[in-house]
Amino acid sequence: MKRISLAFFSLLFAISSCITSDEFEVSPRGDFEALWKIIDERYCFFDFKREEYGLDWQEVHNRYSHRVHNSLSERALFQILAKMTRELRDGHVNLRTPFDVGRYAEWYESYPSNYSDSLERKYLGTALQHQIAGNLKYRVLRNNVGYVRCASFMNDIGEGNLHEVMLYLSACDGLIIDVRHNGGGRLSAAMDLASSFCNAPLVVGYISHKTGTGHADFSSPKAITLKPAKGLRWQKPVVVLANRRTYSAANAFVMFMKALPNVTFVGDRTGGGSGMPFSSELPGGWSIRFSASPIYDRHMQHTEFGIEPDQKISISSADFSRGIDTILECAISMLAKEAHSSNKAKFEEDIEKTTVSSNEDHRTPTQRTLRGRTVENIVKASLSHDENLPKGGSRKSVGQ
Amino acid sequence: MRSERPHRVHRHTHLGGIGRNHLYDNYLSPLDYTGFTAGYVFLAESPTHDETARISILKLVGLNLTSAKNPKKNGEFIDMELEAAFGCHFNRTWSNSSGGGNQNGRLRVALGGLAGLHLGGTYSSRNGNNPAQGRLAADLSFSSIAEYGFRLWQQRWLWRTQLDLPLAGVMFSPQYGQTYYEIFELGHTNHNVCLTYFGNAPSMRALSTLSLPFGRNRLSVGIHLNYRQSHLNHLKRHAWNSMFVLGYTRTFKFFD
Repeated sequence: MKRISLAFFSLLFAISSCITSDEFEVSPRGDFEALWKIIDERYCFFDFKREEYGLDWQEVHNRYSHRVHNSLSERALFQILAKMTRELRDGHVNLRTPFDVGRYAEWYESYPSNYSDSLERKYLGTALQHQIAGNLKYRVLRNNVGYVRCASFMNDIGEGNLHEVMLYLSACDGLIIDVRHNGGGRLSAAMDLASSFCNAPLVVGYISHKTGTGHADFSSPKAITLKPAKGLRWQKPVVVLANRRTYSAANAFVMFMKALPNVTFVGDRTGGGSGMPFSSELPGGWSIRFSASPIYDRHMQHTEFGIEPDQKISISSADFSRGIDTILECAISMLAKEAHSSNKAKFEEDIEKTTVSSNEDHRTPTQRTLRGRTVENIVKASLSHDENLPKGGSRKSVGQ
Repeated sequence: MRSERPHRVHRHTHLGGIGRNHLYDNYLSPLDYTGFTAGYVFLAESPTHDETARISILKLVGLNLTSAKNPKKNGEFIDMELEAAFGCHFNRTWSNSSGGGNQNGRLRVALGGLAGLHLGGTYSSRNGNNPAQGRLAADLSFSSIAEYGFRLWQQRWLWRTQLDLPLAGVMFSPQYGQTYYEIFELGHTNHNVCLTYFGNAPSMRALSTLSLPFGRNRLSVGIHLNYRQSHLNHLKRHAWNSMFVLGYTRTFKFFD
């Protein structure tokens, strides 16, 4: 009876369709076909890159397929597969093996670094001269300019940390956020930092995702809204420094900041990397990471190949040899000049207040506003904040 | 005065099991993972009135934990599935016993339905932004039970088999390339609650036990097959869970 019942169950189940995996052989050929198929079905920039430089993934398959045969050694196979993934020109595409990581690095290797850790040490000073809050190193530079160095978004930035940084630098006339050589990390960490410069919910970009295996199967892009931080928020001018190694979540941070009114982006073009990566694996055990979910800027433009700065500037060889960070010096000068203009406007405002006795406002529109803010706001509210400041902690996050 | 026959007979069965699970979820990996699984199943059956009543109530709770490896053994899935079901059956009994409560040759066939709730998830040890897949589903199943009591070697044996086939329901699923960050942090939903039916979520549970008296209880040994599958938003998944189960059944008789 038991056998009969088992046979009955098996028959019933056989009638229904079993959902099974794709069959890939565990061999160099199987790895090649699996890699090509995973990318073909899940990669998110095929149409964009076809327009940019003529990427044809089927043609890539045809070109590489004949090089793969089952007698290949592991390292020989790796060389072929890694080269194939580099056709995507995407720093987020990594083929990981126990002996090497296949990667595309031309997005930064072909350009000047525009960053030096020795220069960073010089400007940050000794351990006694700068503070550290979470991922952020910060201090006050000359001309009363605040400097925040954010080298990574790999860990969340606590709201309490951000509050302390803003409080410490609140007397500064301007702020520099340095995300050069920041290779990214958690997108939520980038949003947390950017939220300290935003006073009202603001659409800073769009995100979409694949809805099927076709190259054009995407959802309608939906807005990414930057929400103001619950703690202290910066109200004065900000300069963001970036270079070609500003990538992924750091690239997104620059994209978010560019949507804000008080922010100037100085340095070199960012490295890009605007696809949120997924991971998968090959039958042979190697893992593959690839861009799966595209993020666009607020004008619905891709930033996969980087974001152009408002003021492009590089560290000159002469400055570097003299221990001067040309980009940082430029930012300090810009903010000092801005502060001077702001102070002059404030002085004129004070004079006007003492001489005008009526309630009418006789100021010119230029006097009333400076970079979109009222003069009173600049003076009274170098910082704004919400009353209910959370006591630190981190948020759920996702890496990029 | 107490009646001779109990008015209600409740049967509680506790089963623990170990076995193999065969996992596949193409949101996490294109490869099949296989490994050890351990689980627990609780069944509570009670006729609505007395033992001969035609309607009976069934409650089921199941918990399952799996550790599975990919073919190269360098990746691991940790899977958990919790399910609860409640339903009723229409019973029909045939007996060739000679009276006196002798169960020799007593066959019960029950047909009915179950409303089930499934909660679970799979964690992949090697993924970044797609490290896990969550599962939440509710379904209505066709359920059937066949039970045969017989005497052998002067013992009253009881063979019981249950088969549940989910017919329709709803299930959570991200879109093909959608991150959980987009769903839960940005609040961007996109057909993440899908209708399921036997075509896109062909699943089944079969539980077959053989039990014999042991003191006031019954010891049971059997197999539990729980095959869950879905193909939603171009995401394919299966969990083919097969367990050898061992447990006991307690019978509670309620008199007036």
